[in-house]
Formats: sequence, structure tokens, C-alpha cells
Amino acid sequence: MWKIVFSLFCVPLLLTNCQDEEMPLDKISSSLEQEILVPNISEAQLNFEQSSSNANAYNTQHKNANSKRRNFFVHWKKSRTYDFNDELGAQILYTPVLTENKLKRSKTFLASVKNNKSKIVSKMFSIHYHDYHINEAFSGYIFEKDLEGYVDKIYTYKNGVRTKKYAVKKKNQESKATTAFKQDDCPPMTDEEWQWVLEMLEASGGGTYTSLDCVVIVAYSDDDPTGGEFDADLGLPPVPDELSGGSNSSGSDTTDTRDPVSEDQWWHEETNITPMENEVSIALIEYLPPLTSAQRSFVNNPDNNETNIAILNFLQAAGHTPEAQSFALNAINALIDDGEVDFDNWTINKQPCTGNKEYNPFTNQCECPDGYVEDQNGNCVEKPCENDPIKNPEIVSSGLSGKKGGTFGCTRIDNVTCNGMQGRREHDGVDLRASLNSNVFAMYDGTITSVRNSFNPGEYKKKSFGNYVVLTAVINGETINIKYNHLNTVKVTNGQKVKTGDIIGLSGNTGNANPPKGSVIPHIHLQVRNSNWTIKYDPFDYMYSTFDTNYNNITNDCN
Amino acid sequence: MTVTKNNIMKKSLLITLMFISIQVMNAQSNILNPEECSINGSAFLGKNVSFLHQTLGNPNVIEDYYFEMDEITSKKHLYNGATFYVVDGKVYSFEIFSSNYNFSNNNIKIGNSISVINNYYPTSFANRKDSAIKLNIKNLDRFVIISYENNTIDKISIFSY
Repeated sequence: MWKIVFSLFCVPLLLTNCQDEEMPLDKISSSLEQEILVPNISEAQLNFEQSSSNANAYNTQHKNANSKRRNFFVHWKKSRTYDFNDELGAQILYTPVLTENKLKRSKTFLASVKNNKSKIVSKMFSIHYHDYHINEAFSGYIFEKDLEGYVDKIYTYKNGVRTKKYAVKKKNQESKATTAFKQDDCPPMTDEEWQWVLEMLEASGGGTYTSLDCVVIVAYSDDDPTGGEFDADLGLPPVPDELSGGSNSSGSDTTDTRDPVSEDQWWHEETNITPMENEVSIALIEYLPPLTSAQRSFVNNPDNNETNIAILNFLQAAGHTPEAQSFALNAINALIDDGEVDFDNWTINKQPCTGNKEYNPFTNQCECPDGYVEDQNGNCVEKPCENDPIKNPEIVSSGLSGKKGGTFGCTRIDNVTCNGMQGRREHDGVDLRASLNSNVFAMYDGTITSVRNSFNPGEYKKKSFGNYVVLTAVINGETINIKYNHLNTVKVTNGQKVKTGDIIGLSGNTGNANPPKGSVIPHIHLQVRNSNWTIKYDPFDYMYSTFDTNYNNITNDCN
Repeated sequence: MTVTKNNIMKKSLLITLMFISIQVMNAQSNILNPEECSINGSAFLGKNVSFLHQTLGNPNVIEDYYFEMDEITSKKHLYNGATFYVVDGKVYSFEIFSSNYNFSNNNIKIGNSISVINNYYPTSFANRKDSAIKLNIKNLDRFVIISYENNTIDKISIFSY
């Protein structure tokens, strides 16, 4: 469940009051400048600098930088307030455009953010975007900077829904955001995302970054569009349902003097100022039982106005019975998941997803979440660490030479000479233990350039590789061939493009790996060669996992 | 600290027992010297093919056999009841499947009961599985598989990892 209505980019929408009209970029910025009573840029910068000390004091007080994300709103000299981000429960406004790079299609905004304890926090936002249309939800990237102008967090959005969150780790400084993320929730970024991130870091004009720590798919529950993460930041309990039903108190001053204990309530009372609510949504909130946060967001979304009217008509036609109310709530839940509802026949067709897949409303398909890939049975299976061929690889022992014999080089014991080493024989790859018919993964993006699938599972042939797959990839500018041998089953075809983590076959013991009645442990014989197969490389140099002097895996959890 | 003859003997005994224990724990198979991997009393592993021919006579057929993993073509020498693989003119491995040939200095023959193996290679015998008894070969990452059906030996082969 990962759809959420996101309204940050309603800022220009609201300012220009032209939700149904496409507007080119240059007009957006000019509208901003015309509509808003903003001070000049030098004043904005001054305010920004002055606010920094207050922000630092606030952060110090809370000892949790992430708490900034909760319940703050942005104002500009108390001149005007607008809904900034329904997800954050924040009110933004103001913002002169500090920079605009049309070539890069980016904008940087400066904003003063006021949290619910009247502490000022200044934020600078850079918005990078592509395919932006005024009447569509935003698809692109937000780069949130800290008070020093360093990129702190990066958010990606698709059609107004936040899909990923990145924490940026700065050199010699622990990322504030990273501590709030679970390492298990950090799948790798796509090439496109990397490109955007790198461009942003370059364009941000300052800072040295050591790594991007984390890519987080934010999964939201039906009940709480924040997934509890903002509450978790402060250790506060979730928003009570009775407060989430949409109160309608009058607008408030930007200075909040109320008891901090009631901050949740304060926040929800503030939601009444959002211009997204209208008579229809208010009526729905009144007629239905208390809504969850996700349901409330749905009915408050102006894009859903026609749907809201349909629900309202349905309720009125049904006489507001408990059954009708229950159906309406289920209908809203289904619609949140992009399901279909037939109010005339009281039927709900919700997109079913099987095999641990999640429904992606952007593609209208059930897909595996990041870090997982679909296996031959249609189930989502966890990928290994990036650049590993299997999960948790172990070196398999080879007779008297032990695990060393399973590594690359003159590691096998024999009555021959290998590179001047008497009594040694070359092992031209690494042997990785793999239980029969377990998934084998592409270590890199590339193309399948050779396959053999003529062996039956477990079929022996003396000194043969059995079934294999060759993946050709460009790694650090060099074309490399990676050969996976002794597979029981090949899952790819010659010429097929694959991405890192795709399943290319099932492990096994074909070829020399299964002597009749012999006792060779099933394994993958992994080889790495240059483009014309004349140079043999140590596969360890191309794997994520590392091994100690006893050839045991010492890799920390890559997730 | 006083060192006595008695203490030294105790320590020696302890070390010996520890060594034996480690060997027992690690060993799943008995280990043969390559010279023990003999056929009809002659050790062929690593020997020139001419010695093979002098000892067993010329094979019925010689075939090419490609060792894909070593990127080399071996010569497969076929005898009645035995096959030898020759690489670079030297015997690399073999298999026997007829009572014309006996294996090792203990004259193990195709058709013998596997109880014979228990007499000579008790560790391997104790760890037998899937109708196979495995013997490692000293200084080689190769191994002998003595396979059997109904407790009767039917094939003896050398494999490599």
C-alpha cells in the first residue's frame, strides 16, 4: 500500500489557481513572483541566515533532527500560508525562487519553516523535475537541504506520490536521516536515479558527499498515511481516529501558543485551512464514520471530487444505512488502491496482488517491491547483495585443498606445476555453495551472450561445465564475461538484456559437479573473463561479498 | 615449575590423543597414496601412456575426449572392462568395471563384497552413502569412488573436483 496523495506541488497550483490548466515552467515562476508578497531575495537570505540559529536551537532541544519533519509549517513573514505538504502535515509558504536552472529544469526555493512550538527552522528546497505539467501531479525529485545548504534528503515522486526517500551522508558527518531508516529498507538506486542525484549534488554548489546511504520505499498503511514514521520520530503515539475525522475550526494564527501536548490535535485543526476541502468532502466526512488518515486524504483530494460526489449520491440514495456507510468506506479503501467500484451494483473490484507483490498504481500492475525480484513461480524473492550471484555466498570445499581449492588461482592440489608452484593446479574461478535449484542472480546489468541448457538437472559429464549462462557486462568501462556453470536450469535466452538482481537460472550439479554416486557439494562454478576470454579474473573482485583468510564470508549485511 | 619425565610423557600422550581426535573428526574418508591407486599391481596415475600400454597392452579404441573445464582434449583409452583418460601423454584418471582388473595393493575386485572395503578403509566404509564409498587421494584434489549394488562392488572410478 504505497499510494498517498501528495500536495507539495500544489504550491504553484494554489498560487496560480489554475488546477485545470497546463502551464509552462517559465510561467510558473512568474506567477509565483506576481502572486506572492515576497520580500526581495536579499531579505529572504537574511531571514534564512537569522533562522539558522533558531533552528539549531530547536534541533538541539529535541536531540532528533528528524523531528523537524513533523508538524512544521512554513510561513513567510506571516504574510500568507498555503498548504505545503499534506503528507507532512506542513504548511508552506512563501518562497521566492532563488535559482532557476532551466537547462537542468530545477528550482531552488528558500523557506522559513515554523514548527508547532513556534520555533523557526529554515529550509531550502530544490526541486528537480521532468515531465512537469501544471494539471498533473508532480513526477520528479525533491532535494531537501539542511541549513548549511547541503543536500540532506532526496525524495522521488511519481504522479504526486512519494515513492522513495534517500538519505545523504555527508563527509565527516553522520547523516541525520539515516538513523531513522532501517537498513533492510535500502535497495539500490536505478541508473536514472543515480544520474539525477549526481546532477543534483553537482548543482547544489557545495559539500562533499561520501555516499548515499539509503533508498527507502515508503510503505503506507491504510490507517496512517505517514506509516507512523513521523510519530516514530518523536516517539509520539499515532494520531487518534477521533482527531482524524476532519474538524472544521477556524483558521489560526501562524503563532501557536497552545500546549505542546495537544500538538496532534493542533495539527489536525489546522487542516481546515487547506483549500482542498470543499462542501462535498466535508459532507462525506460528516456522513461517514471517522475516517482514517488515508481515507481523509482521499476525500480531501480535489482530483477525487467527482468520486466524492458519487459516494455522496450513493449514501443519500441508500439512506445512510450502516451497510451503505460500510460499503462506502470499503469503496474508498479500494479506490485508494486504484480498484474499481460500481456503486449501482454495490461491487468493488480491487486489484489483487499475489506472490508478495504490491500494486503499482502508476503502471497498473502488481510488482515486486525494491530489493525483490519475481521468480519462476511468480513470487517475489529477495535479491542477494548487489553484485553477488547468490544470497550469502559460501566457498565450497574441494577435497584435500579445502575451501582454498574453491577459490581462484593455483589453489588446487595436484602433481603438476601452476605458475611455478609445484604440486598445484589452477582453479579458474570460484566455487560457491548453492543448494539445488536455488535462484542465481545477474551480478551486473548486461546481456546474456551464451547459454547451454541441454543437460538434465543433475546430469553428469566428466570435466564439463554442464548448463551455464554467460553474462556480458561493461564494468568500469571494461567489457567483462561472467560465466555461471553447473546450473540445473537456465532461465534466460541468448541476447536477453538483464538487470542486476534478475534471476538467470537455478543452481544445480550438472556436468562435472555430480559424479555418479560421488559426493561433490552442489555449487556454482563462477568464472570471470575479459571480452575475448583471454584473461582470467578473480571473481571475488567482481562480487560484493568478501571472505576472510579462512575463506569464510565476512560481508556485513548489505541491506 | 618442575619438569619430570612423567610430566613429559603425560603431555605427549595428551597431544597424541588430541591429534588422533582431530584426525577422526576431520576425516570422512580414508586417504590413499597415489601409488596405492594401482590396477593389477601397477600404479598408473601420472605415469606415461607408454607404461600403460606396456603393462596392459594396447587399448581396443582410443578416442578424443574434451575436458571442457580444462580446455584440453584428452585421449580416452578403452579396454575390456576399463577406461583410462590420458592428458598430455600421462594417465589422469581411470575407471574399472570388470573383474579382469583389481584395484589397489589390497586386490579389491569388481564383484567383491563391500565388506572387503570395511577391512581396508573403515572410515570411508563407515561414511558410505548413495551406494558409493569415497577415498581421497593424497596430494591430489581427486578422489576414488567405489560404487556398489546389493553390497557388491560394480565400479571403481577416479574423479576430480
